[in-house]
Amino acid sequence: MARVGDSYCWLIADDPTVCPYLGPQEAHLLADVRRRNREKCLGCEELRRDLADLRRTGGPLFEALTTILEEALNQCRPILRTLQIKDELLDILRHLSHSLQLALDPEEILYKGLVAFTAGGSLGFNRGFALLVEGGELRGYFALGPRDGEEAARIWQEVSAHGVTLADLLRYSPEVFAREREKFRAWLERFRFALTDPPFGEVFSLPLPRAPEAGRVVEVGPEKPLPELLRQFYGPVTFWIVPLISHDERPLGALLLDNFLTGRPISTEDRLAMELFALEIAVALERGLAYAALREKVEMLEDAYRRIREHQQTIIRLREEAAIGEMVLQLTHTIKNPVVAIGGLARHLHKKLEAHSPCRRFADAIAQEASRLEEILQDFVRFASLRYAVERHPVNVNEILDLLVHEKREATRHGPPIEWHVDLAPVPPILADERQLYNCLENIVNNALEAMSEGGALFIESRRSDGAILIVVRDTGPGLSEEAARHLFKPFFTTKPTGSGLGLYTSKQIVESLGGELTLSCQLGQGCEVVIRLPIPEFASEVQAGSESARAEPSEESREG
Amino acid sequence: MAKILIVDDEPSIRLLYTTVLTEKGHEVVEVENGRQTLEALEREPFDLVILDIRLRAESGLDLLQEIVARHPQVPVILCSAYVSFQDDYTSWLAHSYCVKSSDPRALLEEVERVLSGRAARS
Repeated sequence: MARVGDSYCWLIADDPTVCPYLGPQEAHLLADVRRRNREKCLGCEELRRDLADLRRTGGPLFEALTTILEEALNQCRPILRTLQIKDELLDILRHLSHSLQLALDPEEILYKGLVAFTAGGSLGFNRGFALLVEGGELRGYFALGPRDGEEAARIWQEVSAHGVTLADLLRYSPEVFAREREKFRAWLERFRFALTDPPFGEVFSLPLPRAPEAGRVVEVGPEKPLPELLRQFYGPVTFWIVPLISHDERPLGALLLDNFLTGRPISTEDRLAMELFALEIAVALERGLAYAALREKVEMLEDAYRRIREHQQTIIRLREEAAIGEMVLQLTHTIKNPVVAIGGLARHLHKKLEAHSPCRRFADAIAQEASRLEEILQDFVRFASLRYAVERHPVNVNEILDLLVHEKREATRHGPPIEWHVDLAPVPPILADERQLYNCLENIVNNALEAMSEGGALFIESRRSDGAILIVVRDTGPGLSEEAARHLFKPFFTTKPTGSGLGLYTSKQIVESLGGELTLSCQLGQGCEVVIRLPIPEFASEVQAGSESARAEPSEESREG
Repeated sequence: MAKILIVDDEPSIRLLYTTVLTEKGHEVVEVENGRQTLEALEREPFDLVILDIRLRAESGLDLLQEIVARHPQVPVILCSAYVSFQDDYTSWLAHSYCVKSSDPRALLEEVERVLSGRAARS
C-alpha cells in the first residue's frame, strides 16, 4: 500500500482499505494511528520500503534513522520472545493452580506437578522425579518422563499428532499414575536419602530467599558430591532439585528434574518459574497430607468411640447381672427360712402323730412339699452362684503360686530365657475363691512375662508381714513410664495389640474384693513390681496359730446344703 | 447333755431347733439378737452356740467376732440359709457351718460332732 495519494498508509486514519495487515480484533487501530504505528507499522515491510525510498530521495538523516530503527527492532525481538515464554509459563501455572485446587491425594498432586514441569516448550523438562519425606527421610514416590530417546520421540510424536493440550495432560487417573510409576519403580524403591545427605542438605538448609534471584533451585552437575545411587542413575547428566517446603519451613519432599535428552540448560527465568510451580505443589501437598492425617484421626476417634460404647454396654450388662444375682440370692434367702420352719415342724409333727392318724399323711405331705421347695431354691442359688457369684474356701496362696509357677515354667520353656526366682515363706490360708485368685495372680505373672519378650528374670515372693500376706511379682522388663503405669489399672487399657485390657483391672478388683490392695511401681528401663497385700484377720490368725483343730473345715454336706 | 444357746431372729426357726434339740435331751435357751446373746453368755455357761448369720438388724458375723473374743472357749455353729456366708472370712472363726434345712439331721450331727470334739479336748 505505502503511498496513498500524497500521503502514506501509516498516516491515514479511519480508512479500512489502507492496511491489509489488521486482523478482525484490531479494528480499533484504524482510528488510533499512533498506536497502530507502534504496534503494527514498526515491523511492517511497507514502512521499511517507504523508509528506503526516503533514503533515496532524502539526506543522510534518513540513513541514521533507518539504522536506529533496525537496532531498536533487534533489541525488541528477545523481549517479545521472553514475553511469549512468560505467557506460556503463566498459562501452565494457571492450569496447574486450577487443577490442584480440589486435589487432596498426594499421588494426584505430584502427578500434576510433574506434568507442569515436563509439559510444553517453556520449562519442558525431559524427566522428573518426586521424592516425599516419610519417616524422616526422602523416599522415591513417583516419576514422569521417557526412559530413553526412542520412547521420548514416540511420546512427542503422539502429543503433536493428537493435538494434546495441557489440560488433557493434567487430567489425572490412578491408572496413568500407576503406569508411569511402574516405569521407574525399581529406582523409586531404592531412592531413600537422609535429609542431610548431599545435595539435599544444601537444598533444605537454604534460608528463605530474601532476594528472589538467590532462589532455592539447586543445580547438580557431575562434579557435585552425590549419594552413590543418584550418581548411578544420573551419570554425567546435570539435574536440578526443587525443594517442596511447608508454610512453616518443614521439608515435604523434593522434585528432581533433568534434560537428559536435550541437554538444555535453564535460565534465571526458568528458576523463578520452577520455584513458583514448586510453591503451588507444596501448598497442595501440605493440604493433602494434613487432610489425610485428619481423616486418619477421625477414623481412630470413631473407632475409639465405638469401642467405648461397646465397653459401656458390657459394663451395664455386668452390673445388671450382678444386681440380678444379688436379688436372686436375697429372695431365695428370704423364702428359705419359712420353708425350713414349715418343713421341719411338719416333719416333727409327722413323727409325733400316731401311726394310724389321718393327719400324719398331711404332715408328711407338707414336709415333702417343703423339701421340694428347698431343692428348687437350692437350684436357683446354685445357678445364681455359678453365673454371678464366687465361692470362697480357705486357700493357701503358696499352693496357688506353686501351681502357677509350675504351669508358666512349662509354658515358657521354649520362649525367651527367663530366670525364675521363687521364694515362698509359710503363710496362713485365706478365704478366697481358688480359681479367681489363680486368675488374679496369673494375669500379673503373664504381664511380667510378656514385658520380658527378650528374656529376663522373674522374682516371685510371698511372706507374712504385719497381719497381712505379701505377694511380690517383679520383672526385669523395660518397665513403663509413670503415665502408662497410671493407666494400667483402668479397664480396657492395654499396651498389647491383642488383649482385652481387663487383665490387671480384674486382678486389682479381685484383690480388693478380698479386702486387700494391689500396687504397681514401675521405672522406665528397670522393670515393674506388683505388690499384693492380703489381710489376715486378727482372730483368724490367732485361731490358726493357737490350734489347728480350732479352724473349721466345712464338711462336704454343709457345703452342698 | 449340753446347754445350747440358739441365736435366730425367726421365731419358727427357734421353735424348730428347740424342739429337735430338747428331744435329744439338750437344754436350750433362745435369744433373737446380739445384745441378748452376749447377756446370756455373761449370765450362764453354755456348751455351744448355734448362730444365724443373718439377724434382722445386725450381722451374725460381727456377733461371731464378739463371741470368739469374749468367750473363746464356747464353740459356735454358724447357720445360714445358704453357703454364700462363706464369702466372709469371719465365718471361718466358727467351729462349724451348717446350712439350714427342714431335715434336722445335718444340724444334729454337727452338734454331736462339735460337742464330742470339745469333750475330747477338755
